[in-house]
Amino acid sequence: MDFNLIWQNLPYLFQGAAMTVKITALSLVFGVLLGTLVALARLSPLRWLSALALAYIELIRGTPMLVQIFLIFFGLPQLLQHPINEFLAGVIAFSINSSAYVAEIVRSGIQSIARGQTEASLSLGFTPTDTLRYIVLPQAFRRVVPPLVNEAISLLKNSSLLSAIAIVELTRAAQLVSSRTFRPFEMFLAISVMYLIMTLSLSFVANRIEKRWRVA
Amino acid sequence: MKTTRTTLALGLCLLVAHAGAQGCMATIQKTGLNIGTSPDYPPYESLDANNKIVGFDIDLMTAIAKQMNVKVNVIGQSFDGLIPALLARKIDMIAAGMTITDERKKSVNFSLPYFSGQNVIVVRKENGATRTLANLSGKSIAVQIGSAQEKLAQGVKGGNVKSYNLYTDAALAVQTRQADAMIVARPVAQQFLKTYPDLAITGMLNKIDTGLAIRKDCTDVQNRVNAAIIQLRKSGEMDALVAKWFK
Repeated sequence: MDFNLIWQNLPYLFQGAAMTVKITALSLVFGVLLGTLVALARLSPLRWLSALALAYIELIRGTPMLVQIFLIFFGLPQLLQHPINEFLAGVIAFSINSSAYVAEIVRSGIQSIARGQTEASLSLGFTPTDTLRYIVLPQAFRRVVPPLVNEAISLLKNSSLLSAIAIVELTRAAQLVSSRTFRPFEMFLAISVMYLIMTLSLSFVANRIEKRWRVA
Repeated sequence: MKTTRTTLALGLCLLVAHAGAQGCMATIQKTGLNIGTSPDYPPYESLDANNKIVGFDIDLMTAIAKQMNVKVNVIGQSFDGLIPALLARKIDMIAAGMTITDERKKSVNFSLPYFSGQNVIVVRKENGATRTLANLSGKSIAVQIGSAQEKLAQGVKGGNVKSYNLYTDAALAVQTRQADAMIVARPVAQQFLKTYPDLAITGMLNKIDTGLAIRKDCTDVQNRVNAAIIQLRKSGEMDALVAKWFK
């Protein structure tokens, strides 16, 4: 074991960690936005829209993330006949992937709000859109905080897959250092701790949010 | 109980010390020569239609093992994990089209060079005229992670190095315009240019020597391997193998 190696390369690993956080955060924002739309489509009374949303969810959940990353990274430029930056490719792949999981989380959240609330709201003269916006969604989002944090944590860990398309996130940073020093063990030990610190921080923040939002 | 454990530990230490004193050849004669390679690098090594590892390195190792009178086991894994595997004693030797570099020499010993090649620049045909490393300034350069070409690319001022797990991913990145150029060994480039007619070799770079990597404490193995390589050169077998795989 050579801990010096870890100290020497820590600044480089931190750069990788910053990239990991950036991609995860961006993808999560887009994933939640897109996922909410998909959830609403899934719950739509329009049969074809609901079926389309279901097909989308099954397609994304039924294929491995690494395959999706390769499809976007190598496939999209072929299609567009124009290169896309790997950071962008990564965010697109991750947002799409995340949206499928978020869609199911949000759907279960919406369905967990008692039907009587919607009926009461409608009978008070709220439009269906306003009912969704002011009554159902705010409550649903509070309920889905724990599974959403789960999704955020798994997204953060899965971002290591982006190393395959040469994005220098935390895992790639470690791979690059160890391919130079031939000491992978030290590097992977170091980044395990760094991933753990990031996921624990996420859990911590989530716990605070949950406490604050707790409905009496 | 405690005594048993101490005795056991002592015995293990002695066993290891004993093996060390006898050199690595003794173990290899018993277990066979475990060769580590990364079968994604034709014509050096790749998987054939039956998923068997074949290639120049494999034929060469078979010939060398015959000279050394030992059995040979070929173990396939990822390229960047080969030197760590060697240092961890998981394998006895690396035969993976590995370029002899000063940096690697700090960790391992190399056999006599068994093949001399050249690094080349590969670009999309329409981008033409990328002849020297200086031409790559400001461009994105695709390489395989942990390769000698990666090191070369890192030396390009203003270059943006993209390291992929496999050199085939790097080639695909150039083909799909995700990277501007690629640095790779010429024999390997010639292989995949057959599949990618829109790519071309536009620049010839430094000469490179390929060697077999051996653990530093196994100088007895290194000597035997070198003797075998010299013998194969004399007998003309080496030329025959080069002709077979690099024609």
